[in-house]
Amino acid sequence: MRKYLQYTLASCFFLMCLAGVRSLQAADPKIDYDVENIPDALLENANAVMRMEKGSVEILNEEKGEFTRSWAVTILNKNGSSHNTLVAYYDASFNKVSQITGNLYDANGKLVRKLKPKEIQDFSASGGDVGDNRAKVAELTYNEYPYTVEFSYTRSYKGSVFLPNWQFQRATKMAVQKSTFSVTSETSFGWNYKMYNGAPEPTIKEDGEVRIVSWDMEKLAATEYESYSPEVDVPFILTSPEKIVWDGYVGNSSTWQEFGQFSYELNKGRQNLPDELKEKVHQMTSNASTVREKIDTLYKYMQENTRYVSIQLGIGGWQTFDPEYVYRNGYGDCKALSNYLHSMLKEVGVPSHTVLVQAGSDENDIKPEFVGDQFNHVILVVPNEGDSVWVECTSSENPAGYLGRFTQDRHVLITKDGESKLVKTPTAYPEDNLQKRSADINLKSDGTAEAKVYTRYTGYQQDRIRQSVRGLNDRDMEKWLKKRIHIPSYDLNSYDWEEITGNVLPTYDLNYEVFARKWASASGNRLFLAPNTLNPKTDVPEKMDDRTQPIALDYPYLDTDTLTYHLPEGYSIESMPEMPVKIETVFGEYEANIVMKNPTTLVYSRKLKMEKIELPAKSYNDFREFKKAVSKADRLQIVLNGKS
Amino acid sequence: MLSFLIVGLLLSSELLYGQGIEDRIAPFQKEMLEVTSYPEFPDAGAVILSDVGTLKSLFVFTGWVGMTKVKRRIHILSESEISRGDVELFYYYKGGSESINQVKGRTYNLVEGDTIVSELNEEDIYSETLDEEYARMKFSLPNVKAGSIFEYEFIRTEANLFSPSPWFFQSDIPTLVSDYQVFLPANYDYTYVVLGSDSEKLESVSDGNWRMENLPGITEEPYSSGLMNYLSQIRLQLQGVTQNGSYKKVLEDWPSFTKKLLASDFMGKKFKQKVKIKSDEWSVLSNLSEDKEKMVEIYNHVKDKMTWDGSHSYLCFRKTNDAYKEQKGTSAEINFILLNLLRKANLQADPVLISTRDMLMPIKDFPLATAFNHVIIHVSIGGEEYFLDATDPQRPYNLLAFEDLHQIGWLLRKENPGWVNIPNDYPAMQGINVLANIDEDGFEAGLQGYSEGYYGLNIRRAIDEIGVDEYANSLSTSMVEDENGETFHLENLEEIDKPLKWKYQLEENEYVIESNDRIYINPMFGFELEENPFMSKERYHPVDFGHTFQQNYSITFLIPEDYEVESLPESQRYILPNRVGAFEYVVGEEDGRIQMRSSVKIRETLFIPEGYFYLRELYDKMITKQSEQWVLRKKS
Repeated sequence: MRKYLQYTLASCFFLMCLAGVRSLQAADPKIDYDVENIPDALLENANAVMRMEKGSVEILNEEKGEFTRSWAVTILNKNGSSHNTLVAYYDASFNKVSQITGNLYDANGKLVRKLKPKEIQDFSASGGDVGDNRAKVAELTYNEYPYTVEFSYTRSYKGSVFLPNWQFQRATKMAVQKSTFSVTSETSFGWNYKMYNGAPEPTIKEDGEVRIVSWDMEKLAATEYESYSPEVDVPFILTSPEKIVWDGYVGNSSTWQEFGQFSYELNKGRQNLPDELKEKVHQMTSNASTVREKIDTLYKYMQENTRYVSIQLGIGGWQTFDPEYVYRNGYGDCKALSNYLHSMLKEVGVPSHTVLVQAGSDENDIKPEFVGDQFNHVILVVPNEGDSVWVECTSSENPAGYLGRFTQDRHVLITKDGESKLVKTPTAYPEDNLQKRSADINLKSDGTAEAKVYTRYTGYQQDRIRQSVRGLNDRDMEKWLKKRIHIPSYDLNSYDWEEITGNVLPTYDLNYEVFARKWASASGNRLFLAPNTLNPKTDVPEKMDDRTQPIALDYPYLDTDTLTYHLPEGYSIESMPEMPVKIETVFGEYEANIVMKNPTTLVYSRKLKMEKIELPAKSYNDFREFKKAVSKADRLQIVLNGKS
Repeated sequence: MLSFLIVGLLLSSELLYGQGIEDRIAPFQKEMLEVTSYPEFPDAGAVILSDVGTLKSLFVFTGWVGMTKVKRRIHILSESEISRGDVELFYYYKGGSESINQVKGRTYNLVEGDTIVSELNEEDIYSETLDEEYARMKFSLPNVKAGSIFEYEFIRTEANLFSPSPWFFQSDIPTLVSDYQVFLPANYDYTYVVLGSDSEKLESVSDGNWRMENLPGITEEPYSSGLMNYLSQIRLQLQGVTQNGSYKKVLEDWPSFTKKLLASDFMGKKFKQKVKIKSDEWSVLSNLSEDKEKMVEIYNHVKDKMTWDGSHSYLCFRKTNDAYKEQKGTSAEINFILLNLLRKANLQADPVLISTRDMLMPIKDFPLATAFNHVIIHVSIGGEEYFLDATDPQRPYNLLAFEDLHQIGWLLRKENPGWVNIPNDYPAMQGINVLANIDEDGFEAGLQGYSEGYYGLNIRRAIDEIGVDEYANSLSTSMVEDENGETFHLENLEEIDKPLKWKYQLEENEYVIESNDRIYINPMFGFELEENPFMSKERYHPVDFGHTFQQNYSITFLIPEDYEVESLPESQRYILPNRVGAFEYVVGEEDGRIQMRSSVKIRETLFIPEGYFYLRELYDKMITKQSEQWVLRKKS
């Protein structure tokens, strides 16, 4: 058999070889899925155990290939039952999913049933977008735990900007008995790979013209998600073809410059403005004396006249619509809008470049040392030594130069003819993300109060507020505010908000007046007042004795609160906690104070600053203590007595 | 075949609709763009200027089909509403039963005093199938900005004129004019109902032409059933056909509706299909001596065996045993399996058709199967009645899914079929007991609680999701270990038919503060209601709690030897009109201890807007009372 195989390998053309390799792989002995065969160590903390998982990529030629994934997972209890489902995502223009199989085994490894073809469903996976993303979904349900499901599917692809990557462990609370990944290609096919987080070195076999690169991992214990941790570091492999072929376009990804060049070429020649727009652009910028003024003017024009609509069909997932399309329709996706602004800037002599980015508030950064497609979004940059202007073109509100949590502080690829390069977007500091509040509170002896509250938001904190309130009508605004103001029971008398323009950071003011039916609690002669009514941070992370993951704080902010209380006549402080409270840690700083300015005026002030920082797991307890101390200080109460 | 035919016929649709629609609404005029707000709806960010629907019937060789031409014109007033220009139309494409064609659209903008019209291009209209039943047509109107008016039109074809799709006059934003006209076969006899909170505004323009004007937008409010029940709408129903001079009734009455369903392949016939339960399992179930015990164990068997696929259905399209073998099914499949096994055990069990809370309540005038979307099982044992729904393994037999609590259902059986009231008095009870004292070691408290019915279910679900540790952390972050080294003790987590019980101990914490020879006590230890769930001053829809409920809290606080009470809150009682609910707070001092009991009871589930004021008031009283503190003073 072996001899025969060698003979075929040497003598026939490549595709046949692959068929030979496949039959060799299929000859694997059948695995016994009896749960008795799971090592005890893998059952710890696990809701499921991946008994075996195998991913194999077969490169048919520089444009076509097949990815086959087969796996068997034992589901130990109902919390692991979501793993009983096969989900095979695909792009309807470039992929095809076939050969879906599924088997269900009981605890002893005895076959209960096979998946029937009519159980396989096909769904749109484009969400609200117009797009090609779809998914084949099949589920094997069983309610006698433990049981094992076995699945496999093959996805063929056309066009190679990327190759399938591999993750050796796919979920928390899931142990892995064995996971293997292999890429089979002609020896002449150039591609790159890199291992992360303890993924092993590959085994490389060459046989005539065929090369098989494969990785094996065994016995990975179940991991657990821990709050405030970065994404769990599971072992994975990134892969990337050296030569990019996509719908007639060719490029290569040996360097970031080359990869950027491919994107540049794909979008070249799509910058022609309609004459009408050309004229408009010149007219609008005729009085602008600086580059910055030109950017601001054209960005504002775009924000006022377009909206974000995502259309990702075929190569449209990669290639931009031209400015004519955006001008005619008044909408476009991130590529089209970035290219639109880029083209308008070009028309008035301001050079700019589109930028590829992995966007997302909670996304890990890309791996800068590994060249390949790690991006999902496009923004624009206008270069300026040391003070480049970054523009998020899908935002109808941001000032130019502000990116927000979606794209800040990460590696991005600037695409520029012959000079594409990886750089980092600017980071944010606590002081950039302000919530600055002052309030005037007329407290009555029955515990009711009239309060005027003024709050200024900038940066991230402003993003959160503005995205919710901008343009809400009165009734919805009232509903929204009522959800956010945590006074037990009150009437909202009036409010207004205003976008403060002209600042580097987006800034928003929100003011309101309430009548609180219970601001303080009245009992007999006394008023019990928790002075930090408006902004108590009371969440305390759970106790954890054996924390394993680091702590990642990724939302730096600064809150200041100054609440001026006008007390009813004749009341004095009977009891008050020790003041001021001051806490300084690496995580953040906290300060609170109470001062009697005169017999009827009490001023409560508070400051909480949280850093952007990553710290080792052993700091968790300190972090919890800090949060606990803040929570305690934020709930302190004053007792006022009106018995004079 | 059908869909092919319809496409052919659409060619003549311009002819079919003629100028009908344009006659019924004002054509677009430039002045419309000059309006910046509408006096009746000063807060609106967008307004439907007109929404016109025309239903015409067409005879094709398979029978009559309905084609509804819809033309909608929307004025965007605020930038936050521009995404309304991205339109999605969903339709049920399976078996060619519905399709959407002839989409057109345009946007009007006022630019330097001129009206600029941007047409929607045909190539920018996309459609895709979402799954095996539904498809979506999606398009974005060009150049939509604050101030734009856009309009779009389309034709929706449905292969059924028996119960045409309802026409909704109302939406989530205000509607100035909504006009619906129908042209139906002359020999078809239709009846209709008008539903919704503004239905008195309906105006009958002419025979088969209805109109409503100036309708406010309607959005969700807490504690109410689905919006569907409040949006103003008209529903047509075919009741008879005249053929060759003789009138034939096609809309049944409830008795014949019942008979027909009982004979249906997808309903009554399924009751007779065998569910092949393993004989050893069956002998355990059937050998129980009490009927109620049998019912409970059969219910437990089905709910634990079957996984619900999340879809509600009242019909069953495959063999019940196939679903049983697959251990997965729709609500109808699961509950029909339950029914079959209950009957196999000679219990008197029958299906009850219901509509879930998010759906329209059944219309008693229309004996239609489509009024329902779910089926539950009614069992009668020695005069006791039980309602069962086996779709959730966390729910004991004596608890229906919250979604099922929608007032009425149709009891489907040969003898005495009829409407039944879905019980609303399922257990929903919570009790907490606290014993606290202060001695030389400082403050110490033991808390224990039990949660029954829906309250227990909610906690079990929370624990399923976040785990016991995090749940404990959410109750208190100052728990201390007891003598057994345990911090949070849980009982009956798995025994779902029993109340869930928990207990823990607290030491020093923020609820008890010693300062200047005084002790201030916040006696609810975090179990006080923090916010009134009814924030709005006014209420547009009724409150529908679904079920009655009760919460009790009691505490015994031992006063330290050297202290005495300085002040305690006053006891209070607040009773809702007609005694449908009450809040009570009773506190007193005796034998060196303070005893307090705080309870709330709601005995009615439906509160019409007029009763809302009192309900809101009750919650206010409770919040105020529960936040009051106790003061002890050092004896002099």
